[in-house]
Amino acid sequence: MSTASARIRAYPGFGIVALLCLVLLYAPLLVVMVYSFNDSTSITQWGGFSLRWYKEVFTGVEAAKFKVAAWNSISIALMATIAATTIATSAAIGMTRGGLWRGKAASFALINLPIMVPEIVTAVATLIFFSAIGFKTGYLSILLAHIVFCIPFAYLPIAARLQGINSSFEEAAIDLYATRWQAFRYVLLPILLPGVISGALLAFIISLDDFIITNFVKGAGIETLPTAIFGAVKQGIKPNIMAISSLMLLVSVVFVTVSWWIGRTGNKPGDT
Amino acid sequence: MGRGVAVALSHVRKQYGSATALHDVSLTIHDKEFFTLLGPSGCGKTTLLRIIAGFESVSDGTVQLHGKEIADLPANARPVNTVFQQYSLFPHMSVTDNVLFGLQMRKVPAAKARQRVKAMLELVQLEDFAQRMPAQLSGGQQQRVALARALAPEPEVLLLDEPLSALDLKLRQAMRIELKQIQEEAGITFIFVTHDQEEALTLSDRIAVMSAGAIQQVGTSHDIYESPVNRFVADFIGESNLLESRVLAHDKHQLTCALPGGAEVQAQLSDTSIELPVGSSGYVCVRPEKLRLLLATDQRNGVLQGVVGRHIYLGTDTQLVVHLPDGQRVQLRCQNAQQNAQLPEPGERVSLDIEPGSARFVSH
Repeated sequence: MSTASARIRAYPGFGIVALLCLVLLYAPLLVVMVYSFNDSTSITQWGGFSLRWYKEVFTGVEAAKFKVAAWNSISIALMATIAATTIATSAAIGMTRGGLWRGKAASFALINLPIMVPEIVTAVATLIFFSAIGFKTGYLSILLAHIVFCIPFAYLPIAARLQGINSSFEEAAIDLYATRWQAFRYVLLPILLPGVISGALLAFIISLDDFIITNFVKGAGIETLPTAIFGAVKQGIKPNIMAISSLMLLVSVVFVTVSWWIGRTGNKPGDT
Repeated sequence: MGRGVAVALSHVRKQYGSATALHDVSLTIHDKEFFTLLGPSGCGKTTLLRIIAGFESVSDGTVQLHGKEIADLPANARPVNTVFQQYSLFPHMSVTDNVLFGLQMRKVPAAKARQRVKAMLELVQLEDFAQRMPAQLSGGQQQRVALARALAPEPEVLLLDEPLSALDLKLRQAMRIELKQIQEEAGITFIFVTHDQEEALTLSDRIAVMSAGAIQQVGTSHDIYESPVNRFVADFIGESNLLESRVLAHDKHQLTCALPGGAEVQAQLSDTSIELPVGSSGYVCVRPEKLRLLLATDQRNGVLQGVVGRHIYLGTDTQLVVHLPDGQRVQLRCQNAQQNAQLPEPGERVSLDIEPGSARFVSH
């Protein structure tokens, strides 16, 4: 490990390229976080440390609006996560345990396609679909769209872990008189759980911060946190936006870290 | 044998698409027998075991367990249990919970199930490890948990899929003895799959040698080693000298066969189900330890003449390769019992004799 990193560090220009990437990726985030603690109403001038914008988020004039939007975001994310993870788990089991069947490769591509397709295309297509079948846009249309695009994100960690689990565990359970459901419930699911949790957390985050698709399919009169933030920003960036953004960033970081940590500690299932 | 039939397979065929994994396999396994399916990888032995377990369906034929047809029963409805090659202990359950699993699935009352688990852990000498997780056990211990888990629900037949192959040599040898003891104590039929002939020969009451999806021979270790019925079995089990030959005369299954160099030898036809007419070609099969080197003092010629090739020192004995004039080679074993036994040097001409009654004739 140390020798490998020593070698890559020796490449000419490594340091400068790395630094450039880090700055471009993280400097804006850092600025937002720092300025969320700014006491001034300016978004560019530092006026001393203060938590006033966080107070503003929870008690200010826009607090009620953001509260509703946050609740929409979280409830949609929770339900979308549960639905998408269930579907992704079934899909992963079908793909890795169903043996060989016609259209397996095509199914794999279809499951993962939403990750590859530009989000704007999915957004437009979903909106056209909803209006074509006369589906009323609103909370439910957002939820359905979220379930759909969360599936591939939940699928990947679950399928990856499932591939590492020898199917002889389920065979052993069935051999010991378990039904297929019992073999899944008592043997496969507990071994697979880190993958399922990892996938669920990823789906939750993806749903929570989705903007493009949500914005297309939400219709009038309903906002999620990202669309509410966008709406607020259109009227000028106020420091309270930075506070909300920082809070969302915090939630994301926590979830992704937990997801990564679970995926790592739960590695090598039953590799005995 | 006078014992009941535990498993009866009749004309079992297994087809995967266009590939045939098993051709018309018929087999009878007795109660309380240690029965081994032996063969090289890909011979169909594991497929056969999985058919008995219920993980594979038959394309054709019947599978009976104690007289009941089970070919259509799912695996979880068959009173047989399996010890898997990789053990497949449930990694998230303790040793106790692993052994308890089958009993819980069968809805055995809790108190009785606990007792049974305790008895099983005693049987495999793991009482002190009841609360450990599988990952905290050594390979040999995991192996024994797998055995206890499979025996706990009192299966009518226990299936073992190469259970010792993951262990190192010393442990494998120790587990062999233990396995045999456990089988005798548990008093149930074991069907054991292995590619290791030594394992098969030492453990089994009877062995079925398999190759290319078919059973080549069924018999005791002694039968299979001493009287292989065909070339495959002769070649696969132990070491054999297979000398091209022809039948010169026959009296039932006692044949007179031609040897390279013109001598004749009495060889028994092991496969008593066939009759070979005079003139049939095949092989005379002689085990290396059944060939005797004639010393100069013997004053007579043996049935084979040749030139000594190389010596291979093997500890208890030395292997000698002798080249026959027609290009075939034979191996023989000379015991190293005497400190300074004189072995002929490479290049020396020697004469060999075959232990009377030990030669077998096998067709192709």
